[in-house]
Amino acid sequence: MKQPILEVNQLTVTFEEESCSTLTDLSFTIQQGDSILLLGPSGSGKSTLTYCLNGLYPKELDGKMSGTISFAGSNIEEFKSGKISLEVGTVFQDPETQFCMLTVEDEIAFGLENKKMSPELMESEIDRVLSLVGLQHRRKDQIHTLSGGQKQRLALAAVLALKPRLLILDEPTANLDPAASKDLVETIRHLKEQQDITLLIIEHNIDYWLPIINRTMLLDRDGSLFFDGDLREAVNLYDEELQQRGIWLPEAVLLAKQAQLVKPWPLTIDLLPHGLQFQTETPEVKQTKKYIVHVENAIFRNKDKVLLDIPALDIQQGEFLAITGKNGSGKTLLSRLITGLLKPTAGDIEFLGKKLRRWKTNELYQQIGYVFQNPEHQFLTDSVYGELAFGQTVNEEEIQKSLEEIHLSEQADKHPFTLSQGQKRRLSVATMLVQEPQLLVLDEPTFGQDSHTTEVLMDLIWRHHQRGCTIIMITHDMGLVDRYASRVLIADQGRIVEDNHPAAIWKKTDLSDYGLSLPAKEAYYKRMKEDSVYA
Amino acid sequence: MKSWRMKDIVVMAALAVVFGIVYLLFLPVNVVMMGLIGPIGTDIIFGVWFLVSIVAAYIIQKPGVALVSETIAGIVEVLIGSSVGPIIILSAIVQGLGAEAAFAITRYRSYHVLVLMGAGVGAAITSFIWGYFRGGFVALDPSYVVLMLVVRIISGAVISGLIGKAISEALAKTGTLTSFPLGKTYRHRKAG
Amino acid sequence: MHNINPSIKAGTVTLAAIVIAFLFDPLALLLYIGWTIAVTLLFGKVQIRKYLIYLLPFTLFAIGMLVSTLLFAKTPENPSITQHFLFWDLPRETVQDALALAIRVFSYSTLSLLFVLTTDKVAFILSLIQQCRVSPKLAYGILAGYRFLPLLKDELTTIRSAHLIRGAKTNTSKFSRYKQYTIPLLASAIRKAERTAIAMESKGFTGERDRTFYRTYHTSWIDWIFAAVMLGAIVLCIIVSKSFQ
Repeated sequence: MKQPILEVNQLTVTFEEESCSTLTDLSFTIQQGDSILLLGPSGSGKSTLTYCLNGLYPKELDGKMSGTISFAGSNIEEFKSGKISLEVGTVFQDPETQFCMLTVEDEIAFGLENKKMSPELMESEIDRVLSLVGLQHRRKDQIHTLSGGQKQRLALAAVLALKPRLLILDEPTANLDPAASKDLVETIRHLKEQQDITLLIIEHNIDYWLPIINRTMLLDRDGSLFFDGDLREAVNLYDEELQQRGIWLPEAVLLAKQAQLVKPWPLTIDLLPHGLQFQTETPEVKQTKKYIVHVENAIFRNKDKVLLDIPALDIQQGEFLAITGKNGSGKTLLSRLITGLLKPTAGDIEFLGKKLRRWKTNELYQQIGYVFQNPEHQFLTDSVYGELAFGQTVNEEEIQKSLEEIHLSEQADKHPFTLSQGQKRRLSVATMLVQEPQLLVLDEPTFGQDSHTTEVLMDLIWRHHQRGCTIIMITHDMGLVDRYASRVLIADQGRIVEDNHPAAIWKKTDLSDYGLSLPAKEAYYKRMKEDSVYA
Repeated sequence: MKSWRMKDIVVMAALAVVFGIVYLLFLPVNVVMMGLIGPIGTDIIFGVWFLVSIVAAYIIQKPGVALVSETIAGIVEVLIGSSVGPIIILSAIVQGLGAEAAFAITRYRSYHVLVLMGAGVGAAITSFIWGYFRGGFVALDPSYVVLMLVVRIISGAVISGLIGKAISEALAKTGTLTSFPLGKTYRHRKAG
Repeated sequence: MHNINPSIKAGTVTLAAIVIAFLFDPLALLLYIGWTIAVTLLFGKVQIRKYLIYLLPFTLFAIGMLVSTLLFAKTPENPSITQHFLFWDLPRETVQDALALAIRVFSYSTLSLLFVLTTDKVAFILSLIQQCRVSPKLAYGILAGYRFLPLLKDELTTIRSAHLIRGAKTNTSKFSRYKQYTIPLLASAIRKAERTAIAMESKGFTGERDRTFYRTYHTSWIDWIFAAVMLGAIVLCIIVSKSFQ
């Protein structure tokens, strides 16, 4: 029979600087073998809950915590410091900050040392967990040579070595590209099959986890639980609420909504009814024959390794170009070369007909905007207002208008670093647009963002595009590509392997070769076609 | 030490790494200065070497932080530098003691700008005594030696003290220090 | 050389440097430098070419030290006893002192290189815990921070590009720009540090000494012989030098 592993009773947590509680009167029980998906808006205390369950709070808490948490029948407070963390393992979202050692095997050993395992037994244990996540061949490697996805799998392995009874995954795919995310989920699914480990998964994106979960909990903004049960029921009952709180609904559900189907909606595409038609919104671009960027035989080498090889590339003025591909395929490198942030080892790049090296730096960057993945890297001043006003002759009216466009009028005096992730993104895009550049390059602008911020950002970008700004957007989101881009480049191992209109690409290319997947509606059409073949 | 949080220590190590990168960039400057105007060249920028301890102490505000953070910086220098030997750990401890003294004198109750500058001065003095033996200053002209000391003290006060304060407070403004005493003080000051 | 316990090696090298701080005999120092270099190359498995490249900046530094000491030396007691040095006639004492200081600086660097080129960094930290009773909380915390080095270096490059795009180069001095870079970099470093501390504690790390070690380090008689030999060599060099005078 299912044993309760963790019992939470009326848990309430309030931070000392806050007036409202972050977690409010939470009560639930986790049974052995559960795979729970926990959804809630950003800032709803999901991470706080993680820290309460794995023993970090109340020790590290600057605030008040009331209610009881029992682990395997005993109150958590009775456990010696550090013991709970050995029973409740946690994998966090940042692949870069979960390690303290330099090599893969040392990191796994670190956890075993904490457990006071005898050194002779460590060898086989390290082997065991590394093969569980498929990293045995990297055992002696330095951690910083691993990819993001591999690092997350290592983090998982390091936690598994502790043999925890409950495994909490706190937004584990937030910083991974879709290919790496799917790998991670597959690893966990396999694990679940082998060991029936109890899982608590906190996530923004439901689709990946559908095959694994058997129970869903929904947290509200004030950290109270308003649903605990079956996922399909949750999505159907609360689709509005979830979307408002920025949770990404499953693709199938979004399609069902678009097609105005009657509830209950299915969660996977294969369960959708046949015969649905969706609007094609991909725009065409007028042939202006004016080139804004011209690349000729550009090569970028680093220590004898060719990282990028582009024989020819022309970008027209007014295009909306999407560049996509796996992490490490050269997308960011290409964008840095095009904008002159990096010099090619060989070859030429022209902007507006003039070779990049002939341009004066400040004149060039009046015409080019580049939005970096981490908005903080671009902030120069102490206030939101200051950011928008930087370097321009101050036009009060324009700045207020910008502030309104990005919903930050009330935050004008705040320091940019204190904004939420979504707010920072919007600000960084806005600062680039203030000077009305001819070309705007965006490096994964919607990565890890909730649905609300994505809408606002794309709106902003689209409006400038309509005014004549050429857009180059690096992205993994095929839905966005389908909706906005007039041309797509797929990069793979330093080369451009596809260069076409999105509709053409969806039809002829097998995207899985490049670690990508079709946008939802194309996946639907494809599935329907396959089904009718077998019907 | 037992009461220190893991967070405190890793933050000190991270600060040491960032400043360590800065130090490595400053080493050639050191050599050039020395070549131009003699050993006193290093004294002009000497304050840079103890920036870490004042910034860490001002942020974390616990007894011993100035000493330990400087020691950590010394160990980190050995890790990241390709030619820095372990004696730098001893130099760092000596500097840290000087800085720590200033905070100890005020019983760790004040982090006023004068105390911060005092820490810079303290570190300058102890490092000078250490440097006197290591560098054989006894062979130099006494008035030159005194000048070196004075310049180093000023450097400590200005670079470590004033710039250290500016950096710490700019960081508090970014909201990254909310779980540290300096960040909390800043929050209350802003709200009140 | 690589197998000598890192802590003992560090201690020896440091102690040697401290002892040398009281030496002013250029010949003895030169002999000791020769000794150190010999030990490094013979037992340390260091390629000669690589070693010479490392020595180059130190040589320049030592020369600089020589020149500046000559310029700022104290007034000698017997200015009449001169020595011909390069193109000038200078008081013998001054020349002796200047040479001593410059050679000493060079000697410090050979000792440092002896340690640095033959020691694994992580091994050093772990041996600090196991031999020198350094708190694991401190040592593992340092390793965690050290892990950020490549990340922060990359981030600095990105920040500089980002500032370039915003036209930050045009209106400010180099000094002000350094300040602009350091704040985002420090903020990022602090956040990384906090998250890493949480991850470490989430793996049951309490910082207590009561833990086991995957990689263990011990001291043996070889380590102590090394220490004795290195320190004894100083005395030997002094004696040899005196015998020439």
